[in-house]
Amino acid sequence: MNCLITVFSPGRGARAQALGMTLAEVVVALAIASLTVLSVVGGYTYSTLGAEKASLSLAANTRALERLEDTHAAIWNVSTWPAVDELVATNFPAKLVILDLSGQGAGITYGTNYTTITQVSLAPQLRRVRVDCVWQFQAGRFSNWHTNTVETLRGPD
Amino acid sequence: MKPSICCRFHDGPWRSGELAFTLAELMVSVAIFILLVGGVVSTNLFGLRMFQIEETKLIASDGARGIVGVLMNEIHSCETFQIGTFANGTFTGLPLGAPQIGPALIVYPTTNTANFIMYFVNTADRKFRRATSVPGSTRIVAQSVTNATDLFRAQDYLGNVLTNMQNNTELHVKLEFYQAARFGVPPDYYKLETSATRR
Repeated sequence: MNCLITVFSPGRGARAQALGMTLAEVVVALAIASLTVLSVVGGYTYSTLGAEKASLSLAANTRALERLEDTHAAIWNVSTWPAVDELVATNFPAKLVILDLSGQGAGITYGTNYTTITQVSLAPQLRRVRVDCVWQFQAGRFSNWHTNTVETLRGPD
Repeated sequence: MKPSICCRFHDGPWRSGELAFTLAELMVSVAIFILLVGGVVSTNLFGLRMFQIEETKLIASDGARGIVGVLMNEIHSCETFQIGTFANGTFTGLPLGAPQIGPALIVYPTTNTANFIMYFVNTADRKFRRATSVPGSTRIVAQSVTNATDLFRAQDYLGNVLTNMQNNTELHVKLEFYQAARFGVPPDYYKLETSATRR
């Protein structure tokens, strides 16, 4: 016959320690369970915020690309006289763009496109066009600033 | 100190105080278990609701990524393109002199106009489709697109809408996705805009 042997000191409270759960044990168990549930809820919330941020980042990226395409549509023709040069920084000032609208309420996420045009070389003519779309992710304590950057090189038409 | 020894499987009758749960212990255990199960179920329901809230944006993002990548490449490399309307299986280009804003786009990759790629929104089902000159090639690339009138726009580099097609015309694309409220989930909206210029 196999016997389970418990050893405890005789005296007041010993039986309770050996056979039942104390209040402290119950509280600790509940605390651990609550932490587990909170962790899972936190995971879901973080996942949702991540999806939201990814969609806004995509919108910001396409907005930056839009500005880059604006610069591609500008005429830069050096083979005529006088030369036509629309690819200058003054034609592309900082521009406020809407990234996304909220499905309800007035929550609008804005971004600002900053365009930088620099001459890389004169022979051959080459310019670098860089667009930074700066936007803020608004989600309470998770709010932070982001920049989506696209850059390309362009020669005359 | 003299330890006492008790044997679980002794020959005599079981002593409830030492060997089984009391009613109070059982109730506490069941209460903890119910709290645990309740917490897990609530957490999963919360996750489901979060997913429903984000579903529109995820679907819209997915469609938008597919559209932007392909469409921009096609515009960059095309011979020409035209904005117009699409009805009953027929594309009708906007006349020159009219503002070039419309719900459909036809792209000609080469000078052969029998070879084309077409994008349009069906206002009935709000689905954005891509079709080519190859019969049976129509496919849905995005859903829940709600802006059926100003989807495509021809503009200059300053963003002014053109009334004719210049050599350096820029194609502006605006996609608006909207999902109405359902099952207690609030409505959601997603907008994506970009441009492409023919190289």
